[in-house]
Amino acid sequence: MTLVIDSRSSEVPGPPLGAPAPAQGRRAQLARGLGTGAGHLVMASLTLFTLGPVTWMYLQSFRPESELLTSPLSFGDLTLTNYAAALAAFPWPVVLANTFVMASVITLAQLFTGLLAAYAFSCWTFAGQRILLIAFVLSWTIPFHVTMLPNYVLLVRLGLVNSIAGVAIPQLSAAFAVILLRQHLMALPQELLDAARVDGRCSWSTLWRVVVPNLTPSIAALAILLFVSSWNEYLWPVVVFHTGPSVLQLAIQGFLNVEATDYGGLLAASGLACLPLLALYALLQRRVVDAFVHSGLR
Amino acid sequence: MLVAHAPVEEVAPDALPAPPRRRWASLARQMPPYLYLTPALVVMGVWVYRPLLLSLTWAFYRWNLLPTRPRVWVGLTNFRQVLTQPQLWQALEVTGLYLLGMAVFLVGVPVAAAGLSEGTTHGRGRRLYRAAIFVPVLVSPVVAGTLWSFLLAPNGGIVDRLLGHLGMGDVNWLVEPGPARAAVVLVAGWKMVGLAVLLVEAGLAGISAEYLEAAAVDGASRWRSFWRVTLPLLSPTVVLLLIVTLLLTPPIIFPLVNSLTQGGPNGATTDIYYYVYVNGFNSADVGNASAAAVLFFLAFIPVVLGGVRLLERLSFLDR
Repeated sequence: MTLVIDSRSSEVPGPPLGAPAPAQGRRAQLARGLGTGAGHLVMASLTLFTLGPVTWMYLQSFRPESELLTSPLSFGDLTLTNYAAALAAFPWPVVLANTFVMASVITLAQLFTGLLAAYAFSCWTFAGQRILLIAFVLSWTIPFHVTMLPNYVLLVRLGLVNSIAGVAIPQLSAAFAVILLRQHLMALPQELLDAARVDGRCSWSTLWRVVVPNLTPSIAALAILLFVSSWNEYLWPVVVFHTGPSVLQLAIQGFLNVEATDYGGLLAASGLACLPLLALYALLQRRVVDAFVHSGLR
Repeated sequence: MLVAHAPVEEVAPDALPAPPRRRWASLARQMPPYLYLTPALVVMGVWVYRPLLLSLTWAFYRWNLLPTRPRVWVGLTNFRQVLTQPQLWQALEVTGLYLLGMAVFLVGVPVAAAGLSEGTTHGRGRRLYRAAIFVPVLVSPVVAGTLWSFLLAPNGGIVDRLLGHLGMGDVNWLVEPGPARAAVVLVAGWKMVGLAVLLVEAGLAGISAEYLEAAAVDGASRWRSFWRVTLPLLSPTVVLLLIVTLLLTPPIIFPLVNSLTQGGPNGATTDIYYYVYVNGFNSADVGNASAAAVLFFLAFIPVVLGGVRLLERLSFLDR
């Protein structure tokens, strides 16, 4: 086992590698071995806790209905009938396409409006700046259902009920994106912005040629969060859509409500619903994690 | 930027009615930040603050949402009713418990895991752990609620069986008050812990290895160097995690309460968000729900002001 304390102190001859008595060295080695063991133990139990339920869902979804509740931990015969039931529940291609369009539009719009607002907050000093920032933070804390009813009335008047536009338009900007991007912009080295200013002023081209390229990892990390949360959204779409094929979470919940006793079908449908994001994540996993780690989200 | 405007006005003291062109120029110079803010402000104004103000007016009426029924002005009655209902205080207490519980998952667990595993797991293994722990973040609340109601099912659910082996079986998770609250926090924590772990990871990546090297040179144990070096340097991340806990807990918990317990048993898992929801839509008492929402909003203002101050200090530290 390699140990980081070794590798880190390898350039500097320090006491841990220096000339301590052999007994002491052995004890230190033992302590480090225990430390490594503890580290793996902690990370492995966290992994078991997070990944266990998801794995269980997929394994169980291949088991016959009759055995699901009687023996939730054993895995005997496998079957695809649960998936047949889940696939027949609603028109998957239409629903998936709807969800993809909705999540993409919302994510791109929230990034765009968020970047512009964050740029205004961090590049200028202007009257009402603090009040406006507070207004953004406060807007995040207003419970969804306080705004839901008046918003629905407005949506009806605009004729946007039952449409993706109806889901997306109220969410073209997100306070969360504004606040987070503002934090990132404030953290950019001031010299970078100063050097890029035209006549000492912030400009449209500075934003796109200097700020955005320097924030790519943070923007990527935020984009992932925004996409995941709009893909998984349920509360507002359920208000907007009344009939016909809608978006994924709604379709799944509809299936859950109708087939409340078809446990196998429920697990298969749940598994299928998670699949697109999980596949995307598996594909981009390295970049997702790196985006967060190198985004300086701190 | 402010400095740039001041001289402009002092340069022309004789031209008391400022030449229109110059006034326009000065106005035009002040415009850009507002223009950049316009799209976000319009969306926020139309879809958050406009409905909020409407709700504010509803708080003074008795109304059940039906267009055929007239709204009756009742003044402050709704506020008085809300403040004297025992359910409100229970909902506030539950909100506090949820925040504390989520702080364990979003601050305690990731920081402790970082402390215990920092420097011991690395490279490929560390990357795999992080990737696996992030997976539940991708699972939708609808699916998470369904999945966990299977796992927490009494008499034969997997959690029941596992705890049975430890002699702690026969807990009716979603039906008894204490366990039901614990279950809601457990599921919400399960869903969000991966995000917090990544944020801590990001914080650690920003800490120069030199500090830890120096501590190792001085003969500090890993335990000591974690408490004396890593944790203090990680404090901006800890503050960020606290803010994330405060901001994300209510919206994450709401759909889970809705699918797991519907606020029960006997309101034991009803937090303030769910309380406002149930009052407004299940009992169709819009006045009461609006009053509760308004009070909630007012109570949140000092918390948010504190949060904004923290945000400002955070960005200062980053520089």
